[in-house]
Amino acid sequence: MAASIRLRVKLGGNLATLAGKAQADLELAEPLPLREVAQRAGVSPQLVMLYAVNGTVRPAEYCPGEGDEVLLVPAVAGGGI
Amino acid sequence: MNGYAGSILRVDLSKGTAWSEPLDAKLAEDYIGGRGFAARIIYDETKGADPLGPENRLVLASGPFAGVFLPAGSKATFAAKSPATGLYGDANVGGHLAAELKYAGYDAIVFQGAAEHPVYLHVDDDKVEVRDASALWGQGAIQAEVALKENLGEDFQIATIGPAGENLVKFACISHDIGRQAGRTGVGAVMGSKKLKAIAVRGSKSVPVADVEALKRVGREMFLKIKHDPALDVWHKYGLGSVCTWANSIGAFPTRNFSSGYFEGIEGIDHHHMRERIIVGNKACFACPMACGKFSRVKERGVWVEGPEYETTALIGGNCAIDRIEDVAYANYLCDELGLDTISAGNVIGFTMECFEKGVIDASQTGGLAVRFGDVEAFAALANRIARREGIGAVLADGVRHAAAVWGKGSEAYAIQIKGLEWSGYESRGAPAMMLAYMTADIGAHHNRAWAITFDIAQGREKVEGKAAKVIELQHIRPLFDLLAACRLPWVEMGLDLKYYAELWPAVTGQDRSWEDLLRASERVYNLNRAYAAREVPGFGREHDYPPERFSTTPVPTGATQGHYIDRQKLDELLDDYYGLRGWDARGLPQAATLRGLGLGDVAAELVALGRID
Repeated sequence: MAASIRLRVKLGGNLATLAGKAQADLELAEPLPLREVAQRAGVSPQLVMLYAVNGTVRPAEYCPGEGDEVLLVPAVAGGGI
Repeated sequence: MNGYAGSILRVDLSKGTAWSEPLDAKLAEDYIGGRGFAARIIYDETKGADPLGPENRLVLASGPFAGVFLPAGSKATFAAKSPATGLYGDANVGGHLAAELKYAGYDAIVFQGAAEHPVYLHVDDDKVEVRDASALWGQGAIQAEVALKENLGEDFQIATIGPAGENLVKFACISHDIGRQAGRTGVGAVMGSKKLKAIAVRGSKSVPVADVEALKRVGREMFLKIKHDPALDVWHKYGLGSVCTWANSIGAFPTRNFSSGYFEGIEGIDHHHMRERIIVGNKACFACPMACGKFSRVKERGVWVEGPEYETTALIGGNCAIDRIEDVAYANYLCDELGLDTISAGNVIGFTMECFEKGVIDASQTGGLAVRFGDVEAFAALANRIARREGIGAVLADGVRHAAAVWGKGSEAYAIQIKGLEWSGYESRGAPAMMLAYMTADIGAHHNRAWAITFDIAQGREKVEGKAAKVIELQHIRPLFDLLAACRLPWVEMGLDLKYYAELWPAVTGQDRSWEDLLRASERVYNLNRAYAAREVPGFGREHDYPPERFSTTPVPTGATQGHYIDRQKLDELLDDYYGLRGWDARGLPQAATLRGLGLGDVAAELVALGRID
């Protein structure tokens, strides 16, 4: 059985307001693309403009690994939600 | 008066004279500054004016938050009666001009009349001269700015027009800071009609501030908040170019003259390609830690350009189906030098490409040019012809609404504009709030008054209920930044809390006013501009608020919004809600009581006397 993957997901701007939290610690049973990670964190991927993993911008299809820190950058951080 | 330079500079270009007037405290109280000053001056002084006649005014205005070293505190507004729409028109620009204007001792410059030969305005504190600019006439906008900088010195802040402004192209822009533009509504054409090639300003004075310690404290908090935001690195690296991929993924990226919201060639123009292939450095406006401006080099063309920003990539890239970032940047460079607003230029040329491919026009009308989607050389040829009003360019120079009226054959349905202003960079058939924002923007189809696509996504993209209230809320908050002369991007893109701006107000001005009261001033300006439209445009009202037919009858063919359109019934529901909440009648005109309630009793009386409202 594969080890779980622990991620810290930080929600930028309005995403934090919308989800009611500034960050989420997730434990995944298997690698998931970033757009699904956003959903697990309670954020619609349609509201995420960019994903950064450990400070590097990655496409929505990228699967982060154990211990990674994911930043969800909103399409608009103030006033659009 | 704390927060203000205290004077308005008046320039009569017909006489070559200039004089200073004290800033009216009532004007400052009711309209705050920037776009607010401009709106009231345009309302009071341009009744019945020909937008390109000497009786029109060109206003350059700053506001209380410019030049006081808060993050991104230097946004200048250029305004006039728009030659594109006949309405109040404005465009704003960052850079350093608004701050420098205040350091020279002026909150605004108001130009009237028209010079007989090309001139530029030279402002060096109290020394103001109208100088000959014959040698600059005909030069590119940035070329002219560089020439003036070399002649006057780097510490002058300069605004210029290019050949498009000189030739009265109705979407000519005003350029500043080697590549930033006050782009929209044809303010560059108004400047050209006055034979005013440039404005050069240098100031050495200070701006009085009520509570310097409070300003330093709040300003420092704002800077630190931005500095420590993990998203700052993304903005430094990619700037607004990073919006392209996202807009495409949600079906909002204008493609092939807004026939779709999804561009299959997005990878060639996205932020990764832009960073890897053309960006050479970041560029910031006055006192701004975001530095979202990107300076780029197109090696194969041997040109440099600031950008492309999102709107430029959307309208020149997706909308004209040009799928190489180098080509988009080159077209951006051409528009900048020619003095064309890249939004309207990309919209007008995208429309021309669709008309050519559909057979609405043929090679006999294009001077033998094949004008097809994806062809950057065709774009370049048309841009040059528009700026000089040569051949087909003479038709296109008056905007997409005019071109459709000339060419006919049903092309009006896909001339993507409202009130004569070309639509900016968001396909909105899958976003009712955003559609309404475009429909009701006071200057025509522009996104800067309200930007609501994420609200549509969060609340439901089919849903109509509740959208009008959000649009109105945004139409007061976002333009308030223009009144204050601060860039809204630290709030919009970094999520900087609005409470900081509320705290800055008493620190800068010493006045005890609530945030709600400041928003009331923004609402006053919005209604004033609607009243101006009612006075200046015969029959102005509801019919002017509908989008082009394509958006209400034709489903989006591809992408995330495939199948979406907003039919006339839904458009009417949106407008009914909106008018009702604003206190406007079913025709979309402000009711007299609404105007009076906003302190616009004189405006109400005038519209009643004219028989426009009861």
